[in-house]
Amino acid sequence: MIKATICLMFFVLVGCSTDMLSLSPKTSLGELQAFDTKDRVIGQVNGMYASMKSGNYLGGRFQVYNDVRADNFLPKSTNGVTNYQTWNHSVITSTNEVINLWGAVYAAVNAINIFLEGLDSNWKAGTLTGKITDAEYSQFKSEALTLRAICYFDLLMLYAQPYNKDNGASPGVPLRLKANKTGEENDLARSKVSEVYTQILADLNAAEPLAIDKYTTNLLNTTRIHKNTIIAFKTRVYLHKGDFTAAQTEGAKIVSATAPYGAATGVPIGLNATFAGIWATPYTTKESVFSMPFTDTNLPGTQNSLAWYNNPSSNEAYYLTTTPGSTFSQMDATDARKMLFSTGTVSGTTVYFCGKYPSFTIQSDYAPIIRYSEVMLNYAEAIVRGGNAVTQKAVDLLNAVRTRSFPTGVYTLASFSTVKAFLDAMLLERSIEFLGEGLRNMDLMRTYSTIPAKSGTSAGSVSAIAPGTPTYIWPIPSSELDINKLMTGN
Amino acid sequence: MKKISLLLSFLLFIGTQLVFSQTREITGKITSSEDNGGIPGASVVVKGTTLGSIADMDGKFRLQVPKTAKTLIISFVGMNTVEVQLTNATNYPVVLQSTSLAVDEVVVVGYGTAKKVGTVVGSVVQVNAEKIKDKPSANAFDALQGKVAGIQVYTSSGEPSQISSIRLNGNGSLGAGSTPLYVLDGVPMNSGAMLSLNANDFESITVLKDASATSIYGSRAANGVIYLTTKQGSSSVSKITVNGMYGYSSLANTDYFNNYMNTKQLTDFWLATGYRTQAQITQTLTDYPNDFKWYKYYYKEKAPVYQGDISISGGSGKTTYYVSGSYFFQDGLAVRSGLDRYTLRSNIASKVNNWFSFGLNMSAGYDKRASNPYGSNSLNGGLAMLAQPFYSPYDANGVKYPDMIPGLARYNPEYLIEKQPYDANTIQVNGNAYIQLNPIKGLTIKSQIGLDAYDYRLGTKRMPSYKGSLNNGSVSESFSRNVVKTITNTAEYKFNIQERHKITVLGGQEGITNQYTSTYGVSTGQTDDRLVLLQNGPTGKDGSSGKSEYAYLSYFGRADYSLDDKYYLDLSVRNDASSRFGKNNRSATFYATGVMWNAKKESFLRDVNFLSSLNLKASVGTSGNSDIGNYANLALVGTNQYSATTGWGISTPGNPDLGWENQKKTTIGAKFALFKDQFRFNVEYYKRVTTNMLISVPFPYTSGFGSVLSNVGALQNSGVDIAFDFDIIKGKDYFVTPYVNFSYNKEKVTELFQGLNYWIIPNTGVCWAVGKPVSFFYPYFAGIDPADGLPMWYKQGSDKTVTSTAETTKVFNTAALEQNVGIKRYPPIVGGFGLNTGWKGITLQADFSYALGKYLINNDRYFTENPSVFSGYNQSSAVQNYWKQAGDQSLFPKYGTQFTQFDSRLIENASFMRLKNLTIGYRVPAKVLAKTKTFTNARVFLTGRNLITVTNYKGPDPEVDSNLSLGVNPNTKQYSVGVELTF
Repeated sequence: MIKATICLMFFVLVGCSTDMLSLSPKTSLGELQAFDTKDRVIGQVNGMYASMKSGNYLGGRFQVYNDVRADNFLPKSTNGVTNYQTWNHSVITSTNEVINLWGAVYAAVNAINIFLEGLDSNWKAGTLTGKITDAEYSQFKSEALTLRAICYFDLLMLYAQPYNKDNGASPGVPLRLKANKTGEENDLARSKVSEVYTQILADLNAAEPLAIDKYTTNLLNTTRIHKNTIIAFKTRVYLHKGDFTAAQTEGAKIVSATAPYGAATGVPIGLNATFAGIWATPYTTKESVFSMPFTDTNLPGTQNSLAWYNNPSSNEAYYLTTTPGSTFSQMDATDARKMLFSTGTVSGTTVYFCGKYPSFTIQSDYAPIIRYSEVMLNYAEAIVRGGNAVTQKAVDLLNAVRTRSFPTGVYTLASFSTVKAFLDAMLLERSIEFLGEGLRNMDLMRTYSTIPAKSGTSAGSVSAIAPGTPTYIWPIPSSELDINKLMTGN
Repeated sequence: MKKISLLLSFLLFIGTQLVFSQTREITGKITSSEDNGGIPGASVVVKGTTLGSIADMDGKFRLQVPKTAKTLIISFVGMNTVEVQLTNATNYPVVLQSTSLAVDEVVVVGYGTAKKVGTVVGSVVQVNAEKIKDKPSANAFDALQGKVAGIQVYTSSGEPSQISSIRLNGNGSLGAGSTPLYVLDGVPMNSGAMLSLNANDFESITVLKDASATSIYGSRAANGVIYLTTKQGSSSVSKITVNGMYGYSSLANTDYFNNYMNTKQLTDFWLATGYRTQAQITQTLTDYPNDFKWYKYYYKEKAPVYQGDISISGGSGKTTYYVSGSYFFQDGLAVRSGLDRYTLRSNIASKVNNWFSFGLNMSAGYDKRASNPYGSNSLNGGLAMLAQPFYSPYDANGVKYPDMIPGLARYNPEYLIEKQPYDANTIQVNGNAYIQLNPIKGLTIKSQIGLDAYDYRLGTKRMPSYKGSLNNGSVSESFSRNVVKTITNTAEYKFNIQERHKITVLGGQEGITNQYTSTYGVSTGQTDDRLVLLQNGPTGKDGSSGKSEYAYLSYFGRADYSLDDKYYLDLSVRNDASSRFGKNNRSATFYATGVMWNAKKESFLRDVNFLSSLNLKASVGTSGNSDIGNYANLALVGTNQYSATTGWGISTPGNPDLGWENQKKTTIGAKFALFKDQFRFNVEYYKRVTTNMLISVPFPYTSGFGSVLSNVGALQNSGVDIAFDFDIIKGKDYFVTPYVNFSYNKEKVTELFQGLNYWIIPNTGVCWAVGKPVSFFYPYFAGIDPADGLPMWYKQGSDKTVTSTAETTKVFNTAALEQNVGIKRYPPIVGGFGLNTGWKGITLQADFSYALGKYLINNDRYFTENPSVFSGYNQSSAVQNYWKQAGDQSLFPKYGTQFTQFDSRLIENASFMRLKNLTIGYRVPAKVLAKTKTFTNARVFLTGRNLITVTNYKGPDPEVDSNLSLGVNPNTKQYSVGVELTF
């Protein structure tokens, strides 16, 4: 009997453990009860921004793609990982950057959609009452809508024909506006470019009245969406859409009638006194309207960061084209923007690198998305294109940006005999001012211009790409075409 | 030598204890049953004491025994042990039988007590200690290569810490793992633990192949079970065994390295292609007048390997023990590559009384392991051979440059290692303790707890004085711990009905929990080599920790029945639940049934003289696979950071329906021997059908997710395993026994997901296509157009899964050109053959292994045959064969065109045959040993590993187990010499 008892004891010892099978991880949260507390709601707001900040998207690579596709940069390396195919226009449906950017942006879109749906349903159900205020509800919603608009706008920049080509009649991208938590509803067709613009503007216009006027710190003013961020971004969207009247209206909201130019209400965005000051810690001058923040322990990742691509110490950096006619060659030696360049050596020759992201050893420089100088130039261009005439106001705005860095380079009305002369000068000024910030390719697309040829490097040479050429825009990634049965290629 | 004298003095010490009274003298002669000759050196021990003697040169012994002594135990290596009851007589003649004739090998399968091999219905193959021990490799699985029909063992690199990859009967799953379940003395074990176990401690490695043998392991048994048994002591023989082995390693095959151009070839190529002018080349050669073979610099020519171990086994009365300790050291050929290992083992078993026994098997290993840190894509690692031959790492006086190599502008790898120190060490513990109760005859109740645990520490540094990043040091420390606890309870009842019906029933329960935890810290910016700790780095300070768990809970039962030892039947069933699966499908039940017929016992075959034995078997059953991540079923919310605040976001979608991958395996086989057992065959046919496969099903990114792990699709493997060995001659003291293992596997994907009929796994060149084996899909190279020197590729047909060679194009575009190139990803044929032969004390063992139809994407050639993409670097001598003028038939296009693209040219036949093992041993004759009165066994041996490699593969190593090979640290060959002494 004793023996039997002992035997039974051992079975009892282990037989009790059915509960041990319900395990959940400790490194991430197993169940999503995300709207239970204010902290969790804010956690999700941060989460949306954090997914935009991915190294594959606004953390660095999106800007780099738009720089190296265009004409200002030459690669040190032929490494495909560091966007060599983007540089020489040989990306195909299965190229990493084509797949990865698409994935990163849509992952952000889904995070935003999940938040928007949860926020609205919980708000309507009253479960958020007492946890967040009306103002916070509005603010969070406006942030989400704006971020979604930015995502869709950025997708159009590489995966679709410019609006300018045919008033948006070309295929755009699939518009995902519903949350997806289980990985279902796979098939979704592309909307037209014009339809995507309509959605972008609907989101931005809905967001603007809901948005917060300003935050309490410069850091938040630069890294979170506020009313003036939305307006600033709208100047870019309307300019791309060719709606110059609307672009002027938006510009006038945040650009004062007279110098010193700045926003009269909300966050007092404006030009920073010096150009170099924008690129130093804490990266939160009034000029940095919206940037992605990084810290020593929260980095975009090697081969993603802007510092990786713009530093002489990096083996996979891109240096500046200096041939006659290049942006570099048209910069004055005294231009503060030229003086910011760093130098390095490639194949025994001295070459120049964009000096905006000096933190190479750590790579914690903020990644810019939109600056006040762009708002001013967007506004000036909208005035000239809208009125089809060069005005003093437009010249003043252009001068404000230009002479900050190049005091002797003052333009007058007489400098421009034609509208085209002004627009050419404007495009050049933007190329100089935003070098390394990912605007050059957008400007070429927006104006439906040829992407110039590139040569003068051991990495080979690239022919010019005229509008209408298949490689003028990126292909749709194979990962989408293979699975999404309603998807069509470029 | 020290060790031996130590042991001797220990023995002498025991000798002085042999003082007693009340004794009488007995004598006897110990002879062999084979030749009736005396057995010198045979041991005679009074049971239950340490009193004993050793037989003399004629096999005679003389011994003083206490009057109370009742039993003598007579033993000798290679012979069975005999107990002799003492009577009043004084002379005892004893006959010993050779163990190979005397006992049927036993195997422990499926939780129960040991069974004789011949009575096991399931398909099991046992590889015994002789084949595993004394090999110049840290990893005992390496010795399995080619030994068992149906299993494929590859060692993918020459790193001493490399663990072999094993597959049984093809690749069983497309999405989940395909490694077998490893069981060490009854406790499931992670394959990584193998590196911390001493191969000389293994009694046997048993491969369980068919459903009848594996189903009782249900969960995770779909890819077969490898059962490892360690040595136990014997209460009749006490012995001390000392082993020493010393050898060295060098590259197994240098063809790849010798295929690079020398200085003259490279400079001539540059001149011919116009890459450099004669003046430039003359200048280069004036500055750097060398012709250097860089592999001789990056790989050592002779790197030492040695092992020393001692084991003591024995027992007295009801207790047995086996304890051992070992030291193993192997230096890798590349810098910072090696393994430095200590192991300890203690196996103890004891019968406390007639119904209670217990045992404890413990092993602990400590090792420092390092593998070359420079990746396959690094100019210090996989691409180091692109170094130009006119540079040299030695100055004019033959002295190594201390840091930067002039011209090459690359650091001396030893400098890099010195400035970037690395310390990785592991403590691994494997143990199990059990108690066993036998309350009534035939009933065995066993309760066992097992542990498989390791701690792994890794510390890396970049010294502030490193010139590549001066005054910016970096330090990281990481620590991880993994603990698997297994508790198993079984009850087995064996009984006979009328002697004709033998029945065994078994029921049991098993719980397994795993917990993995890790911590990591890093800092950078150290400025002084003396202050390189985490706290000394002012920047980049970061820390993280992780935790991951899984659990299994299982119930199982088995019943065996045999009639007249002629007809056998077994049934098993097992229910498993795993934390890895969704709530709705957490548990699954697996079953198997097998039958065996010992036909030779039938009266109608009894007189068929040429047939010595005949067993026919058939089995069918199911088993599962759960080799996926721990939380794949849950929708997870990940945390991230934004502007120094915490963010949340859904990171993976959930799948509450996620369940077990299921496999059904059917096996029929015949095992027979002919002409007095001279020819022995084992032939099996199997069919594995895998369904509900665990696959990361790709989703369109617009859904917000890249993929979702789901149960989809089906796969089928079928084939034959044939093992054959025979005695060409066999006599009293000589034998020649060759063997051949062969297996053929046919694979077919039968169903995919989302209605797709094929799926090209992105960036792998590998495709799953319904109705076809897993195949390579790549742009299909069509040759160089002799007219204009441009490369051509075949255009895709309307169906990419069917090879089309109808049309060609000269525009390269992977997406537009990839198609089925008609090459299978997994080799259909693997096997081995060899020879065991001996004459008197001399033995020779030669083991070859082979794989046929094995293909690899040779990514190295993209770098070594691409002079315009990697201009300035050294290249393969093949690039000289490029198109120069119209009409040229060439390997490569005209200069200026990219020589090599990722296309079918890179998919190379990597079939190979290796002389895995060659051992020549000499056992000192017992007569000589007897004179020493100390040794009972002495053996010296020479062992070679990988001495011969036959392959057409052009990369560094054909044995790589992957779809693609780039810059591997290739396999090595070893020559070693060893000694084994038993006291």
